[in-house]
Amino acid sequence: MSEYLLEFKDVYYSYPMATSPTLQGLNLRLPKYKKTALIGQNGCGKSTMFLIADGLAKPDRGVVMLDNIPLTFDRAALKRWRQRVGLVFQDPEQQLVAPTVAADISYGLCNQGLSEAEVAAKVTQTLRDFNLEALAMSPLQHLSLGQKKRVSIAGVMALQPDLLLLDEPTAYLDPVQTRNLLIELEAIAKLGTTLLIATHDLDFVYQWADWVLVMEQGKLIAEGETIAVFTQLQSMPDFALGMPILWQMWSRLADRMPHLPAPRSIDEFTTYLEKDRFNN
Amino acid sequence: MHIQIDTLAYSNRLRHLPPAQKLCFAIAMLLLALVTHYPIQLAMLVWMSVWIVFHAGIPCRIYAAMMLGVMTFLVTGMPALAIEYTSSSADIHADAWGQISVWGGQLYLSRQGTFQAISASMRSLASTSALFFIILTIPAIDLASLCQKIGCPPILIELSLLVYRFIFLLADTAQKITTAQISRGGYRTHRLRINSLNLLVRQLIQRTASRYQQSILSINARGFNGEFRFWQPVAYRYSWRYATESIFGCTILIIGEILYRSYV
Repeated sequence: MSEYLLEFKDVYYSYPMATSPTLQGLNLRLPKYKKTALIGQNGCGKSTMFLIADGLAKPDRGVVMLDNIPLTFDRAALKRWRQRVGLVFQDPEQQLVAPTVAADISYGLCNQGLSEAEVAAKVTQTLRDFNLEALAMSPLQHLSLGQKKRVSIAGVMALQPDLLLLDEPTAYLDPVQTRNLLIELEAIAKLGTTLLIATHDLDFVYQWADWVLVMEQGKLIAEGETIAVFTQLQSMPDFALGMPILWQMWSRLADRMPHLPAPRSIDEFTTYLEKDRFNN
Repeated sequence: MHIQIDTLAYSNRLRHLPPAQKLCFAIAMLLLALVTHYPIQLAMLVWMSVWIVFHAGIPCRIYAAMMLGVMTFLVTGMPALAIEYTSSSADIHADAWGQISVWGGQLYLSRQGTFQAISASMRSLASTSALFFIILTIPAIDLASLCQKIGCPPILIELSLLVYRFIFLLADTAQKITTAQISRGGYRTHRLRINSLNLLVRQLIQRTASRYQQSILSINARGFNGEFRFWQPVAYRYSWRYATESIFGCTILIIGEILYRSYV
């Protein structure tokens, strides 16, 4: 068994009529059971990478593997693949197809050909897991954006995928909705699902991710543990996304306090500072 | 995007009654509206209004506005039935409420025509109230599952459910574009209104095409296999109280109709 769940080996992809390829020899490995973030500027190929990872776009060249099994584009293989890889789109309106919450969660399960009793049991369980029981019969157009986001994740998680891909999950959400989403993602990660999130929100990435992948112009330019990747990015003056605010505060203090470890949260930061003051 | 009628269908006080019970009642009322005479139809109109406003809790203002729309339509059609013109004056006295001489003939308000207009209007209003009862108390998804149970072709149900889902997205997009246009001075003058409307339609077509592409990706990502299938939990409570009231009321209406026919 490989320690990596998803692998891209020298993958190229061009959209029809595009002047240059979107993915240009992408090599990428996604460790199992880690909370991984994929960062990069707009147009660097993050969403395209997601479409390929879910078998929705066929690479021009290269291999995509899940648990060392290469992706082939025949109907049966794609069905098996999509049972293991779930994709949550940036815009929940794009994702939701049924008239009500319960019906939408049932959609993927019905497509798997499960019996009505199995579908009913899984929908009920998913509604409970995502705290959506009260909204089960609500029409989707009556939900808030945060609720729609929750339903779109629930609909994918009902299939119990090994890998959950989320494209910009915090887009359009207010801080409360973002916090609630983080709690849900934490619970999903605890169940043993590997998470890969594409985002521009570096503050979110810095506090949430165990592993970070950085893409630029269709290629991977950095990967590794979060602190290691941001250390690497700091030495790249051309990196356009900037650095997380916590990292910037720490790096300014680190000149005067070289022993201060890089904090991953505000709480950690204040604890380190208080400890430092106590020691002095 | 909220469409008020749809919101009411999901939030009314009869929401938890089985849709079959509500639909059977409404169909029975529609049939009665077809075969009864106008005093009974008037009673039906009042009774259906009681169901809609008091039992279902639909705000009177909304129901009145809906009925007013229908009434306006009916009133504009009434003169065609009630007013008649004849060139000879001999045979109109028995039938005319009143007349005026025009162009060498008589323009008169016909008794028979007036009764016909009242009868047609009452029939329309009674039927419409039964139809509004369906629209305002049975959500689209419940109607679709009922259609499924009675054996409607699946493709028809799938299409109507998809149209139902996307109609809100389209309405939402249209509303957002319109708001953006208004905020930038669109619709201020007649010419601007036409230009803005033209832009709106073009944008809607473009965005619909783009949303179609996105939807294809999305349904494929969720394992689409050529057929839209959903499952819904059923949480309806059959009500003996409402069943008794509806059967009792229908019986009274039928007896009323029999009595009306035997005396008139």
